[in-house]
Amino acid sequence: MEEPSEDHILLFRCIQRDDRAALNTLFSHYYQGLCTFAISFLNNIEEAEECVADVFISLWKNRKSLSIKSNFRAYLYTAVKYSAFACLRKRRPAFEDIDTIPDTMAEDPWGTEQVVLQSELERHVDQAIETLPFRCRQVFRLSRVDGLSYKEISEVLNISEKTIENHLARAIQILRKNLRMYRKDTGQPAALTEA
Amino acid sequence: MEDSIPTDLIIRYLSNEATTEEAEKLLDWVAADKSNQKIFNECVEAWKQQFPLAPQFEVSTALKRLNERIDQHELEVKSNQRSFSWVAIAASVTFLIVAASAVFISIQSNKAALPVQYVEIKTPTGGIKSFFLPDSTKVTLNEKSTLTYPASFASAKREVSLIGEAFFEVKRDSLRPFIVKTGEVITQVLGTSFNVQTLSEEVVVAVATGKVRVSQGQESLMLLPAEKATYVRRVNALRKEGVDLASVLSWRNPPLIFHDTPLTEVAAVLEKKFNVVITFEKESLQRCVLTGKFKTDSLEKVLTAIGFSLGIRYSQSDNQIYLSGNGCN
Repeated sequence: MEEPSEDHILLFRCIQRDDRAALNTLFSHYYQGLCTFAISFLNNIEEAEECVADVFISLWKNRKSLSIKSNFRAYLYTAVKYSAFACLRKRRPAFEDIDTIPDTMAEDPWGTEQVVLQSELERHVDQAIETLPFRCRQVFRLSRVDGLSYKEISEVLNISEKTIENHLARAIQILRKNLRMYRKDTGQPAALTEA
Repeated sequence: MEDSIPTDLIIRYLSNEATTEEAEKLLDWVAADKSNQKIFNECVEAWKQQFPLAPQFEVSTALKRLNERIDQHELEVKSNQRSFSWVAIAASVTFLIVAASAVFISIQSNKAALPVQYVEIKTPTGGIKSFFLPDSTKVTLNEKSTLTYPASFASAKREVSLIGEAFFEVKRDSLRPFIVKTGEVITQVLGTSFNVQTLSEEVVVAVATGKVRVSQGQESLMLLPAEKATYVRRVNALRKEGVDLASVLSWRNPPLIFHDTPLTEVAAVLEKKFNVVITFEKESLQRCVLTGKFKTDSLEKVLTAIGFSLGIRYSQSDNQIYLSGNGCN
């Protein structure tokens, strides 16, 4: 099925032995996923990149004293989350609860720089995904794109595995309805298996 | 009707969390009814939707910045240490001599601390890449893998680091061993070809030609062609056994996948892959479109499979392939 869960704790051990190439490898491997995750909190490309780099810098600086007992991938995503929170604290009033970032904040998460030729259907689905509630979309992305397990997501976002499942179920239901509605509108066949 | 959908099972199945029993339970439900099948397909389709395009982050620029910041940090740490030793030296009677050698050492260590430029090659899902390293070693990198290597190799050794899977055809250089680092496992060769695969719990090194040394901690193994070493992280041990090379290396020939692809394009792909020339009997054949997944171990098999789905016959003489049949509208 999808890719197996990968955990690069071995590379971290190399980093502990001053292997800079291992740090470079990890950085390259996780950069896209971590930046996208950071953007979900920060809604700003530069800040997201900065906050991912900060995590790797501190990983290097503290390599001798860090002890990562749990899953390494979950550790990275969690570290990026806290790095993003620190960044938010710098620019937002201190009393605002960062766990309740309003959905409106994520309305246009990818900016408008990317002009991409998309099919009518793709555009339609994009809109559907963007209407998913903040947390729901975040969980969906971590599971479906970044390939994190329930256990990892639960560790990173501090929510129960049951909640994760509910978020995913909600995402699927909304997207499925959307696909159906779209097909009805355009008169396309609803599914391949329809007799 | 909608209420009876086992959404939780479907979700667990799609996100790779389902146990075997759960998967079977779900498949029973899917098989029980045509409409179940349809609902399931819709869910799969919803799950597979592409996300709105995230901005593509420039890894190479970011990597460069990262290394610059670390270099800066290392220099600061070094100069702190130096000023500390200054105090100690000042107390010493042999002030001048030691100070002079301290300056000399700091120059030396600064020289050694010159930043090394790294190149990283990363493959996306479904993308296999072949390229040459600065020493003419050929690397075939499997999908979803990352290889990092210095822009120019050091004089004593050639060292690269890998996540994922790659096949190396190493240029022989007896003075500079070629070393592949994959976490704790180190593979060292002089000139040979071998496959390295890293999984979450295992590292597998399989040898096609030549001799390879695989080491992990104090332990090390010598591998000959058609042998493989497996390192299992959980038990922290290396194991040597024989290996079927064809199956280990089969990832280098992924199946061809066509989706409503015009036959002319299919022909172009096959021509390039198998080094043949394909001609059509009549123009109507070129209007056919092909959908399906084809193993690429032999051209005959691919052509036979295409023939079945489109009602096309083929004949071959040397590297000339001739397609005939009624064609499509």
